[in-house]
Parts: sequence; structure tokens; C-alpha cells
Amino acid sequence: MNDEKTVRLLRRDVLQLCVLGVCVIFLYLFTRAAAARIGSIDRHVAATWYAEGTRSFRSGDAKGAIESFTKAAAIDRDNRTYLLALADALAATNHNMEAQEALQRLREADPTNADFNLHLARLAAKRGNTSEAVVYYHSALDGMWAGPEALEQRRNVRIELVQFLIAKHDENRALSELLVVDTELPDKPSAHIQVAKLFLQVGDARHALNDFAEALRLDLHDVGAMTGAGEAAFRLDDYRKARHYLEEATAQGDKSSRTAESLSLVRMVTLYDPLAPGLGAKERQRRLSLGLNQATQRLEECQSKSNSPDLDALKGEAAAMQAEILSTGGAQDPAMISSGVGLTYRIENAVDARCGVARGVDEALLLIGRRHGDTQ
Amino acid sequence: MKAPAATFAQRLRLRENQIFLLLSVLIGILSGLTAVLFTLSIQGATYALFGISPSALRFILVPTVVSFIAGFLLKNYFPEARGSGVPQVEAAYHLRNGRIPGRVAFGKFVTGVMCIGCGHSMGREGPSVQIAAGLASTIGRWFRLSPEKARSLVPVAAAAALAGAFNTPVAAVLFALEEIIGDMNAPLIGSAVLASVSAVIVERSVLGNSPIFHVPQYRLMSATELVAYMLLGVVGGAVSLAFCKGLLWMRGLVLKLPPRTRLYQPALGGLIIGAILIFVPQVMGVGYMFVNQALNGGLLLKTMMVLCAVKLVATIVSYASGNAGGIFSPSLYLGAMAGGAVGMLVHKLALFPSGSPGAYALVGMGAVFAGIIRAPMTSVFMIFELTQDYEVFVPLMVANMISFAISRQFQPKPLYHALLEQDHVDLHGAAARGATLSQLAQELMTSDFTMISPNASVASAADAISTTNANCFLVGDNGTLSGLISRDRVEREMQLNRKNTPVHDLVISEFRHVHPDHSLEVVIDRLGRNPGLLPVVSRRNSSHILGVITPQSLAQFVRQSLGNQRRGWIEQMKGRDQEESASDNY
Repeated sequence: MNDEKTVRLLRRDVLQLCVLGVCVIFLYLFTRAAAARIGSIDRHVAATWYAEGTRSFRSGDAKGAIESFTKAAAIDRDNRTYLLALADALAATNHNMEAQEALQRLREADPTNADFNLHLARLAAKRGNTSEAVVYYHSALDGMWAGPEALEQRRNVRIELVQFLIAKHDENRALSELLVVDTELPDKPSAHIQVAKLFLQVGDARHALNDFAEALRLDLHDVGAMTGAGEAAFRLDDYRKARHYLEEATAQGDKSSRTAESLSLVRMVTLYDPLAPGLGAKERQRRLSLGLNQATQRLEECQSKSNSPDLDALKGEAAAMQAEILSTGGAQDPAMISSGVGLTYRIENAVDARCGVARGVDEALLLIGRRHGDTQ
Repeated sequence: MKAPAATFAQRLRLRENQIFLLLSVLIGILSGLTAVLFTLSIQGATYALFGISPSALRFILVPTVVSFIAGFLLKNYFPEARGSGVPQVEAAYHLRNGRIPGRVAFGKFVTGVMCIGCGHSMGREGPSVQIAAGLASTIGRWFRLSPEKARSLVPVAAAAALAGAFNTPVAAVLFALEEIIGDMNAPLIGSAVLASVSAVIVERSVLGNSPIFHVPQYRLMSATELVAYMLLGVVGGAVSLAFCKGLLWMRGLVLKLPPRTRLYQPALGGLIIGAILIFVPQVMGVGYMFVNQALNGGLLLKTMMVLCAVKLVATIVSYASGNAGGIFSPSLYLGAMAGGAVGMLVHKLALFPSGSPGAYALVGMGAVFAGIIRAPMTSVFMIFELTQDYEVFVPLMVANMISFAISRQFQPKPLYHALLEQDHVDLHGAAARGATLSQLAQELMTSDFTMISPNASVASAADAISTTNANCFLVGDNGTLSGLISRDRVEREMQLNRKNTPVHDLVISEFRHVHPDHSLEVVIDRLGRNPGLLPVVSRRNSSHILGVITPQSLAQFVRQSLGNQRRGWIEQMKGRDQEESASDNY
């Protein structure tokens, strides 16, 4: 009797459990379908807000853009584009801390993402935090870049880092980054010119000249490369080469006043340099005498405004040198020429200090003196 | 004759335990699914009612009209579905043997979706708990489980629902123990864990593994930073207190209004919420989107401060006006905004290195939750489960305890219990319940009992029991127990004129006993299975009688300790199946 009752109870239990199980399965399927539907609505709504935010941002309504991006990022949390856009909008409105927070969140989710690191680097750069910016720039450089243009993107980031370091007057670190960029440049004149200009900015004229020369090898008629090469050669005190490049640039159509001034100066340097190779003894003496006369004339003008015993002494030395030049009568005397160039340089330098910066021939004489500094 | 009866009882007992275990899993899955479906329905309702970019008129009309309809349903059909759901479940568990009518679950689902979906600033976790508890209670009755087992399904379902709604299984179990049962050592922990894990598995299989919040990596920058977290604890406590006091004050005012206005109260709340939403739509509904924003950056300091203040007001209005929805997620929202704002200020002003504002928002969530809900362990583990980072423990506990202490100092009664009290339901606090349940059998027993010798005749037994009012007596010699005998049986034998029958022929040898260190819960359980007397025997020698517990002695203890609200226990003790048809109006 009791056993029958137990069996009956068990049967009822099993039946009830089956009914409950079936209900649970149906509810599960229904819930899944509902979740899929709501998920697709979520994505659609988020995309709509993102588009709205992008429109607002482009039209300069940063506040509206922040609101829209906030909604998009909140609705579709898995879409990082929305949060990145929000961070950009926040940064654009100087809400740097909030932007930093959003970007950090993205970075935590994907530490090797180059884009997130780059945005963080730019934000740190904007806030003037050099060390943090450099760390993030390097993280971006070492990070994962998607797409076929990864190399170019990485190079552009490094160039951006170089520009940031130059702006922060950290030329040494900028140069080390530039040397890395230099090894991975494509065969494009524009790329070589861009890097060469940066080399010039950090004071490495040698690499600059090489890159300008490489750009010219790739495109013989690139005026920018010619001008840049002229400037780099000028910085290297290679005035003949500088004159060659600058004249070519002018001939190719570079009408800028800067180029014209540089060319004029280079021409004067090449015309007045007594120590230029391949000159005869007379020509050297003539050039030395011309330069010395020019320097003495400037010295006398300066004396009339502000005299000093130093200038008097230099004037005396200049007169003695002129006499010595005349006395040699065109004979070879390299020591005298060298000493004369040194004297000319000292006069120009002294006058520069008292009566203002040298211009024209005087500037050329200063350059000549500086170039041959080791001979004095 | 006794042997088959024992086998049948054992089989029944075995059956009930097995069914309960299976039901724990099934109810866990069901609770998880209903919690997810409830969440999705709210989202769907919000989209359907507001569209993508609602106009000001729509902001006003939708909450007002939908709240009016919800108010009609709440007043006429589902009065128990107003408010959060957690206090109702607590009351049902402690005062009505866990009985929650099935229509409550249905009503809560419908009105909850309407109220939260139409923009009321309320949470979905409390309603999920009530829906799941209602389903579990209904299923328990359908399976004809014993009242004790059916009652036990309620906290199990509550844990599963919270786990499904919030994706934090451990915190959900703790919440069920700490808040619903009020005893961290409750024997239901195994079933609650089983149900909670089932719910989380189901929830993840439906919604994916993406956590509810994307939390920032937590880092305590220096020991000095703990000072900032103490400040956060103070702010969290102040916010909790403002919320609790504000809600109770406003709800008190609303409850004093004439009953005929009850139909319109939710609509009036909807109108106010609509006006708020025109200016601050971020406080709409659950608001986890913006909690995420606070955790991950993207919200300005001013925005967070404004959102904290407006959310506080909006939630008070929504809840006090009698709509259906909880305070679980609003407390997290308030905490995230307050914490994020404190974090930003610390970040800007502090002289020591400090973590991200998101980290403060995270700890703030725990602090305000601890202050409002008064479940500090749940709060700590909830945040720990969200971060899965041990480093968060110390600052979290510092902020939580300060917030909890401030809140308790100025608002001694926990919010859920204070809300019940406003509805004239007096429920002891968790601590009091725990203390009561920790009473031991040795403190409840009495040594004033009658023991009848097994060799005595029925006539002498009748003489012995005639001087007392008890219904059941011990049978034994020299303090050695051999069984029980009931007054009814002795009297029946006397009527049949079997006066010389020895007592040992009539003795009940299958009976329950307890030891002196058994808890009150065990005593109640076992006394309910005996015929009116529970022997307390020695652990060293289970036939050595130490005392007895009777319904009368227990009733006296309950009256002394707890007062009249503990009648439910007495009734259970007497073996009555409580079937309350009338339900309280919340």
C-alpha cells in the first residue's frame, strides 16, 4: 500500500519535473531570442548616436558631440570606436582628465592597441607631460597596427614623436628617433625630404644632406630637395656644394627670398675665401686684402659709435697685416693667409659684439673665419 | 507494522530532499532566466516608449500615462508588487512561511517593466528577487513540499535572481543569507550556491560573458590614499543617510494621503520624473550605462555631482509614489557618481599620488550600497567580484565600514525594515534574528517533567498524568529514556478498560530528540515532528534525559524574546500548515 503510494508520488514528481524542465527550455529559447533582438536594437541606437556625435564634432559642437558619443559608448560598450571618439571629443574640449580616463579604460582592455596608446601619447603631450608622452608613443610604436599601411603608420607616429621632442627641445632623443626613421624610409622623395628637414632641425646636417641627396636621386627636379640640400651643405660649411644646390634650385624656379639670401651669402663666401682650394698665391692675397679692408671699414664705422682699446688694437693689427700682404708681393705664404683670415674673423666678431650683427660680405667673412677656425 | 511505516517515512524524506536539490537547480535556472528576461523587457519597453531621441512632451507623457496604468494594476490587482520586492520577500520568508502567491510574481514582472521601462529611477534587482521568490514559492507548493522546504526555496530563488540580474554569484548568495534569511550560517548555503551558479551560467549563455560593468584596473597608489577612501566613506555615509531619510520622509507623507489617491500617486510620481527627465535624462531607469561611464571616465566632475543629486531625488520620488522598482541599482548609481566626484577632486587636489576617479567610483558604489542596503559583506564581495582584484579589499572595507557606521548611527533601522514598518509590518533586524536563532536547546528546556516507568500500568500512568496539563510524557526509569506516551493513548486505554496493560506496550519508540547544544531552528523543526514533547538528551548517552521542551515552554520563550510577531513560529511548532490568504498591502 505504502509502496504504491511512494511510486505514485514519484511518478507525479517526475511528471512535474518534466513539465518544469520543458517550461525552462522554452523560457531559455524565448529569452535568447529576446536578447538577440534587444542587442541588435542596442547596436543600431548606438550607431545612430555615434553618427550624430560625429556630425556635431565636425560642425564644431563639441559639447553635443560629447553627449552623443557618451550615449553611443554607454549603449554599445563593446564598441571601442565610440569610446575612442568620446575621448577625442573630451580632449578637444580640454577635459583632459576625463579623456585620459576613457583612454586608459580602452588601453586596459587592449594594452597593445597602437591607436589607444597614440591617443594617450597625444593627450600627455597636450598636457605637457613629456616622459608619459614618450612612454605612450613608444607603446604605440611597439603596439599592434592593423591594415597594410602599418609600416607607414608606425613611421608617422615616430615622426610625430620626433616633432614633439623637438618642440620640447630634447634634440638628442629626437635625433635617436630620427636615426631609426631614417633606416625605414620608403623610396619616396617626400619622405626623405620630411626626415631631412627634421635632421636639420635637430642639428644633424650630415644626415639631412644625405636624405636630400637621396630625394634628388629619386626626383632630380625636386626643388624642395635642392633647396634643403643647399641649406644642409651650407650648415656643413660646404659652400661650394651649397652654391651648386641653391643655384640649381633657383634655376628650377625657387623664388623664395630665403633661398636668394642664402645663395647670395654662399656666393660671397666662395668669392671672398682666401683659403678656398685651387687658388693661386696672388688670388689668395687679393681675397685676403679685400676681406681685411671690408672688416677694417666696418671696424672704423663701429669705432665712431663706440670705441674701445680692443678695437684700436685690432685696427693696428689690420694695418700691419695689410702692410705684410703688400710686402710679400704675391709670393706663397700660407701662414700669413691663414693668420689674415683669423684676424679678419676676430675683427668681425669684435664688431659684431659691439655694433650689431654682420650682414652681407661681413657675414660671409665671419663664415669664412668660422669655417677655417682650425687654421688660425 | 512499524517497519514499513518507517520505510515509507524515510522514502518520503528522501524524496523531498532529492526534489529540493533538483528544484534548487531548476529554480536557479528559472530565476536567472526571468531576471534576464525582466532586464531585456525593461530595455525593450524603454526603446518602445521613448524611441532614440524623445521630445520633451514625450518625456512628460510617457511616465505619467504608463505610471497611471501601472498604478491601476498595482491598486486593484497586485498591491504586493509596489516598491522593491526585497522587504516583501523578507516578510514572506519570516512571517508567512515563505508563501508568496504566484500572481505576485506575474504582477511584479508586468508592473516592474512598465514602471522602470517608462523612465522611473528604480532598480531591477529587487523586483527580480521578488519575481523569482514568487515563482519558487509557487513551484514549492505545486510540488507539495513540506512548508519548511517550500519556505527554503525562497532565499534560494532570491540568490539565483540576484546572481542572474547582477552576475555576481557569491555576492548574491551572501545577500540571500545576510538580508533575506538574516543568518550567515544558514544551512541553505549549499542550495543557494547551486541555484546562484545555475543562474549565472544561464545568464552568461544568453547575454554572453561580458560583465555588467567594465571596471577599471584597481590600484592603491599609496597607503596615504586610504585617507581619501576614508573621506569617500564619509561622503558615502552622508549620501546613504540623505537617501534613506529622504525616502522614508517622503514615503511617510505619501502614505498619509487619503487611500482614494493611491490610484493617482504613481502617475503623479511619473509626472515629476518626466519633468526631471527633460533636463537630466541620464537618471532614467536603472542607469547602469552611466555607472559604466563613471567607472571608465567620460563623465565630468560637475556632471557626476549633478547626477548624484538628481538621481537621489528621482529615486525617492519614484519609490515614494508607489511605483514598482527597487533601490539596489539606484544605490550603486549614487555610489558611482559620488565616488567618481570624490575621486576627481582627490586627483586634482591631493598632494599624494592617487588612483583613477574610476577606482573611487567603484569603491563609492560599495560604500553607498553598504550604507543604504546595510549588507556590508554583500557589498564587499560584490565589488570584489566585479573587479576580481584583492587589492580593492582594504580601501573598500575602509569606505564601506565608515559609510555603514554613519548610516547606522543616524538611521538605526535598516531601510528595508523601516519601509516594512511604514506598512505596519514589524520585522526584526538581521542581527536580532541571528541572536534569537542562536539560542540553544539547553536555554529553552525545562527539567520540570513527568517520567512514567515502562513497567507501570495504564491506571498508574493515568494517575500520574492527571495532575498536569501536558499532552505527552516521557517513559523511562532513573533518568534513562525509553520512549514517549501521549495523554490520548492513556485515556483511550482507560476507556477500553485496559487498566492493567503495561505502559511499555503503548510506548512511542520512534521519536525525535535534541542535544543541549542544538539551535532553536533544530528544536522547532524536531518539536514539530513529535507529539507535543521534545526530550533533551545527553550527547554521551542519548538515553540519558536532561530535560524537555514543550510547545508551551517554547511559546513562552518566543513571547518573551520576540513578541507577538513570532506567532508564525508557534504555529509551525504546533504543526499547522499556515495558509494565509490575505496578503499585506505594501
